[in-house]
Amino acid sequence: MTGLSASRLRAAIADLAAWSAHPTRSLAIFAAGAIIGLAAAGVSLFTAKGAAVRVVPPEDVALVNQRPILLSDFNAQLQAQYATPLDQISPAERRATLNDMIREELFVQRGLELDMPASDPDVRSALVAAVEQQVAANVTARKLSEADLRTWYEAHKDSYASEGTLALHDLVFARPPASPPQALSAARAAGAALTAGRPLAAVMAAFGLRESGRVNGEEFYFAARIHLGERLFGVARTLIDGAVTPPLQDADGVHILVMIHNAPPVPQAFDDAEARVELDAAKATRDHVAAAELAYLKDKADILITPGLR
Amino acid sequence: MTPSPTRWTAIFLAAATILAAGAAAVWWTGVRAAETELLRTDADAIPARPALAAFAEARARPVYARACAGCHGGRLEGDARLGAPRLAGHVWLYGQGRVSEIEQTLTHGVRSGDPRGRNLASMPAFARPEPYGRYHIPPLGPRDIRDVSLYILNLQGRGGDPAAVARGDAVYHTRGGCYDCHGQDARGDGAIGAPDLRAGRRLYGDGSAASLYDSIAYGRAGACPAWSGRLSAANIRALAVFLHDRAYADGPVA
Ligand code: HEC
Ligand code: HEC
Repeated sequence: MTGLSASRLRAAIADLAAWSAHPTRSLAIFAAGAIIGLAAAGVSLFTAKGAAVRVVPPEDVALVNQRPILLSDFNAQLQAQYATPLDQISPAERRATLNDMIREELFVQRGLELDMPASDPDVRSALVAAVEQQVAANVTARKLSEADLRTWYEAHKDSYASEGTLALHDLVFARPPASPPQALSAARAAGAALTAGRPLAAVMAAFGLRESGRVNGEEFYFAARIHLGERLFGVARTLIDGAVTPPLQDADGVHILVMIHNAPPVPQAFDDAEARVELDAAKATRDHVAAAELAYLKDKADILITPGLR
Repeated sequence: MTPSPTRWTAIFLAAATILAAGAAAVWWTGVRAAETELLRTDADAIPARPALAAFAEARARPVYARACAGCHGGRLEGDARLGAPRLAGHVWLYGQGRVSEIEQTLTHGVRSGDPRGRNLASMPAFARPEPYGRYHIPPLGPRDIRDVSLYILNLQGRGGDPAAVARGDAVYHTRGGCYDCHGQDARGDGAIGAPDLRAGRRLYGDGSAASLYDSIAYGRAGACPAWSGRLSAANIRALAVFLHDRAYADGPVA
């Protein structure tokens, strides 16, 4: 067919307009429109629930006062209740479950009518928790960009390190010498012997030393800190393998530390830490969004406080 | 009277418009009907109905490429840096891979913040003073963690020093409390998303002793977003059918 030029199109539309501009024709079209409109209005007026939705949408299993019971919720409920594959749950069981859910929906609606959230503390705390989680859920769906993650990682590098480990001998006198100065000089001599390379067992025997028993083999830093105490741990963490400390005075007497192996915390590379960075950054974003939500609610709220508490 | 050529054009235009609208309506009703059938049919019965399953898969592919491939990979291969599991292959973290179970995971997510999401347990960080946030579990020592890593490798048939493996076995079944979540036989627990430690499939790292050490020492808690409200119910179900079917196949998806 010949191309539809713009002028022919315009002519065609004008022609249609002319056709319907004929007095009787236009009256007939108008009358037909009016009758159809009136009929539609009449039908919706005389059916009980007016213009409400009368079919259950496919993603729902029921509408209770127009509020949907979701198919996915229904299936989850069936699964929780019967713990068998869905196709083995009988129609009667399904109806029983649905009846329970309808009952719940009706009671919830009634609870709202009665303004339960205003009076029942359990309802109030459940609502608070639900809103908090709702805010959180919205953030979780956003995948943070690699750049965001790297920024977070750089700013919190200390959190992405291995836990340090150490193994050491913590030596004390089996029977403490009579006076503190004597203990100190004996400990100094023992330390010198160890530094000079005399075997540990020989030095312990010669000076009457024993293991304090505070540490037990290789330990993580956090455990060693608890076991050794802040003061001894503070020295121990700085020792290199084989190092012997000068005598250290602690509440229970003099200690000598001999480091066997010290592995201080090592920062994790971004690639190794990425999964944790992602979790932490997402959590921080959630907290941030929750705080912003609260600020926003406060901002638009009209809060009056009694003079004594302002 | 004989209509003029312009009038013919007008009639043709009107007819074409009505036809196009009609075709669109029929097409839309058809899609809507297939969607309705997809949603109305028991989720677990869909794989046995090839036409419906094919409709679901065709629908799911572009959605997968857009919403999921970023984490789970274009070939469902997963991402060991994020702990996003491989979705091809028939080992599941949650449930046994029934369509309804996958649909549940997708709808509410995993540790997603959605109160109905899957979030019954996570992997404690045994090298931290307080390994687990939910209840008290005592920490382990560095050697315990090395030993239990070797024990796991041994379960996977990768040998290891017998004395260390025996110590690891003891940690696993006593002080570590690993059996409580991963099961006495280390086969995992689909009810709480504790992975099968014997399986070749790994969530995190390269499966070496060092990467096992990393998981055990510093903990794990992977998160998958909740998709309800972001994807339509029909798309979520289509994805669930698609993943169920692809779990037993291999090859590119998008
Ligand atoms: C932000 C990254 C991310 C995105 C995007 C994502 N997932 Fe996930 N998904 C994960 C992680 C991480 C897990 C593992 C959760 C765990 O450790 O328990 C997971 C778990 C799953 C599981 C559970 C597997 C099993 O073995 O039980 C399914 C199914 C799944 N995802 C499907 C999807 C689908 C479908 C999409 C797209 C609509 C998607 N995911 C998008 C990260 C993601
Ligand atoms: C409180 C329950 C719980 C306990 C106790 C527990 N785990 Fe886990 N573990 C999990 C969960 C849940 C995951 C999956 C984490 C995820 O999906 O991100 C996991 C993941 C792991 C992984 C990573 C697996 C992979 O595929 O990458 C290893 C390895 C592991 N656990 C070993 C252990 C060992 C060894 C112990 C005992 C010392 C232990 N778990 C104790 C719940 C637990």
